[in-house]
Amino acid sequence: MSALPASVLPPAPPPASRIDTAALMSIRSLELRARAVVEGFWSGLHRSPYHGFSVEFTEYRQYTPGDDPRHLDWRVYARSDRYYIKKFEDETNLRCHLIVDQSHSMAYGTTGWTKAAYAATLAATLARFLHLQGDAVGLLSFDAALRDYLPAKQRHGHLRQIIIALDKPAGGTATDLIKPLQRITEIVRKRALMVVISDFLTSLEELERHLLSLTASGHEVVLFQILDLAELTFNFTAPAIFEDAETGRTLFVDPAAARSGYLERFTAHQTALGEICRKLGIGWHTVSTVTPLETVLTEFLHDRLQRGRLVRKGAR
Amino acid sequence: MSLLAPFFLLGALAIAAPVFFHLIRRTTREKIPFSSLLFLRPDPPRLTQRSRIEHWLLLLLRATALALLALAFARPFIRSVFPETDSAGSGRRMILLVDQSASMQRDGLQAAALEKARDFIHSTKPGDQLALWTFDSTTHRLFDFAQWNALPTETRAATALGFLTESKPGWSATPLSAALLSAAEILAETAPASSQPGGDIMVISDFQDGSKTEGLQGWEWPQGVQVIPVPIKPTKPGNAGLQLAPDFSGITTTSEPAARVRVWNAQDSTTEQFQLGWAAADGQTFSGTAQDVYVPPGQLRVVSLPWPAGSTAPGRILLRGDHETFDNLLFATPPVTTDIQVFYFGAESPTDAQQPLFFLNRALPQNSQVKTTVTAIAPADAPPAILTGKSVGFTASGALPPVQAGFLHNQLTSGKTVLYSLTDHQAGSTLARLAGLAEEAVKLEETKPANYGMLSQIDFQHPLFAPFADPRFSDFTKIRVWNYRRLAAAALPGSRVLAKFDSGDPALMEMPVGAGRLVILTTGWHPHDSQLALSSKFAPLLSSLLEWSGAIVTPPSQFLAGPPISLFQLGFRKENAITIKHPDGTSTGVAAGSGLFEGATPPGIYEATAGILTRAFAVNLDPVESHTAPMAPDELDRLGVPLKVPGTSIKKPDPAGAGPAMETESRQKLWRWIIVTALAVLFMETLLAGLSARRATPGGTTA
Repeated sequence: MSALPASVLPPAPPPASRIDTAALMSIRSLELRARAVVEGFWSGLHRSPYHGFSVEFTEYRQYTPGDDPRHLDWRVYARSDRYYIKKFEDETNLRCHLIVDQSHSMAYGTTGWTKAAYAATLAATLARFLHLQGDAVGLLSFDAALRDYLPAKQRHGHLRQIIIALDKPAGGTATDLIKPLQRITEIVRKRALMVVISDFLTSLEELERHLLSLTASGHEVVLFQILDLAELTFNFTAPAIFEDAETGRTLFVDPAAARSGYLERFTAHQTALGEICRKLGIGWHTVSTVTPLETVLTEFLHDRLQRGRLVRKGAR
Repeated sequence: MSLLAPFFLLGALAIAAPVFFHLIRRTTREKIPFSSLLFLRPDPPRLTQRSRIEHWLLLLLRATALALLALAFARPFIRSVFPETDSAGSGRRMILLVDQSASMQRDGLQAAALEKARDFIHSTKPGDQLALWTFDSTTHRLFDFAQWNALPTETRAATALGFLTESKPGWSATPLSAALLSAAEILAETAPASSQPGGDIMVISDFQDGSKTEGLQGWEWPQGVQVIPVPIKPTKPGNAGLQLAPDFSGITTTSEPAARVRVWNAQDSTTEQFQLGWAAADGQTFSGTAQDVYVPPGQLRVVSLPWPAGSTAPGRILLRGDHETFDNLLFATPPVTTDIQVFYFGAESPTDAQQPLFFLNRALPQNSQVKTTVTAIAPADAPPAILTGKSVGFTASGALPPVQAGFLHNQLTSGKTVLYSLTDHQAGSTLARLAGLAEEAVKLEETKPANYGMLSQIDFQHPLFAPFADPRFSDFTKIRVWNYRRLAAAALPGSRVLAKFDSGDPALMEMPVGAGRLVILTTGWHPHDSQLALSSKFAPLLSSLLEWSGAIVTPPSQFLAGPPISLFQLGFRKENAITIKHPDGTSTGVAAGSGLFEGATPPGIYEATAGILTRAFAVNLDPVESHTAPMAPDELDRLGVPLKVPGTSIKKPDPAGAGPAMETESRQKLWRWIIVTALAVLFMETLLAGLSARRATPGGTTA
């Protein structure tokens, strides 16, 4: 336990205003789960120290002669009888692509729900939150191969399709992060926010290169690493045969003897992943499946705010 | 601690099972799915010291439970060796009872009994008191407490053993109950105030099935008296025996006389094929052809063995094929035919079916045992000459000439019995003469009942009617009487009315005249007077009269060795002084008046003589003595005998003697406590296993 970074440890118990993760995960409908988190987040936002920030500001500017009349917001004109131009709408409207791992390794969980269920809820929450902000959200789900792709849209009804795609059960025999990253790099030409949700329990050799190609394409990349408590602490006691959820490979392990080695290798893996992210300027959030989603969302937004300031400082 | 079923201890080997499962548990455990084995390295299963220590308490509990179960099935009991139990109560009074019945003649039993007795006598403490008894038909006190106390301590055992060595098994049955009760009473009665009440009775016997234990039922044992059974087993089980069955050949005159023999084979016998026949003079071989007899174990067969043609001498029946020879010889006397001459005084024709003589000729017994001859004496005939020693009977009807009446009176006074039927009301004077009264003393009155008369108020206690006492035979109402002669009972002093008519007049009377008896029937048995001769009661009544008068003597076919024999059953009278000739040729006398012959052992043919009367009689072994299978182990316990249950032996507890061991075990029932302990251990094991299983499970459940 002591070998783990403090960031991956389970968070402190959520305040009363937050929804208990177990209660949330007991809701069967993914859409309802996402709605519960986002609405709770909105209502809690008034008391939040992060009041006022958003993914992107949609800025209105009073019309001045010489502006392209195509950009006049006629709805605002209809209400206020004043001309306003959504001058920066095109630049500020965020396109977000959720790249969600639905492989078998995500079907693991010792807390009563699986990592896949938690990841789907997180993805749905983000999708709903961004959709409510008017941002376009797309989805690319994968296991050993690509599963579903929904381009980023802000259309009414698109969120529903995303949630249906996220609600599919986990499958596949392996986690191949490379293909979806290649594919999304090929498809998405416009600058976008790439949110990769996976357990990242795979080889990191190729991952770095493809993440680099993503960031090089101008995309902003955020990684959500979803991990179960048992994966974080390896708290087994009895010797047993452990079976790989994806490959079916079995291994006899005496946890008492193997724990230190496991934690050592796991920490090394996390360190390597963290190093890649730091190098490429990628946001990295390691999330335990018992962490309240509101906390995850809050930290995500807070991180983006910090990152934006850094970017702005850097730009000056 | 001893074990009743030590083989069950092998079940304790099952302790290896938990150890085995404990060892292989690690490799047979169910699989745990895990998200990725990326960070895990192979860890080959190995039995580490640590894993064993982890569950040592569980293993210990399981092994304990199995060991306890195995121990409970082995049925342990705590056996206390005899000398130890007795040493605590020094000064105990003990009676050593040694069985000397016929079954102890079996091979090796007597030696084994002496060995046990010797061990017991040598195990006594200086403070103990010992009496030495043997028992066969009676109890023989070889050595009592007073003799024991009078002797110096160092010579007591040798003296007692000397008495015992001289003792030999006899020929009688095993009256175990009589011997035990006698010993218990002596222990209770002679207990000195300073000593503990009661004492121990040690019984050395083969405890055969034929032992007589009925007397023990419901007997209240004196306080402090305890019985120590010491069973002795024969070297070879099984035995076959012989018994003389009742002979029914006398019922018919045509059947060939034969001895009926029951051949009994014991339950534990291994032989089924035997030979039976008349023995030659040496008692070892057959004199003629032997019969093959097949008797499966536990069964008996009845074999009819015809008497050798023309043989009138007693014979011996030999059984061969049985290894126990003490009961293989049976003694039998041939059936005796009694010739009885009956004199009928009357004037009738024997062929006239309406007259009494006609029926008398046909109703008197005629068979292989009794041959009756009726001689009619007409009124004009002179009285017959009576041969001394010959069985005779007299009957008469109607009025008789004074000469004949006087003759019959003389016979009466000399001890004979006369049946006088009053077929005529003028027979009063004859009756008076017979009774020795004045002629006018007896008046008869011809009586004709209104419808018919019946017999009533019959004295079934009288020997004449005793055979009819059973309710099945006591119905005399079918005999109707048309005419009879009323006779006042008071006219005949000393007379006794045996039966009356329903009118209350006497029908049958008995009157002692001198040494003899006069039986008076106040009617006739012929059809003119009554239906008596036509009824089924007439012939038995005449036989009964002949037996009562002493004319017919039916001696028992055999007597049993051991108990006293009443010689009156053979036809001897009280006044006879009888000489008994034993099978070995010696003679003993039985004084007049006693009639009891004691000491009828060994089995054989005995001959009793008194004057001209000589009777040979067979004395045989009690057939129950042939039932040599051991009695049920709990038989004495069931009969309420207070058993003291040490081992079956004195110094070396005999493991083969399972009987007392089983009783001890069933009394102690240690297995129940062991089972309870095992259950408690199993409960603890379940608790512990549950706790450790809870600890072993990871923090949550797998999805």
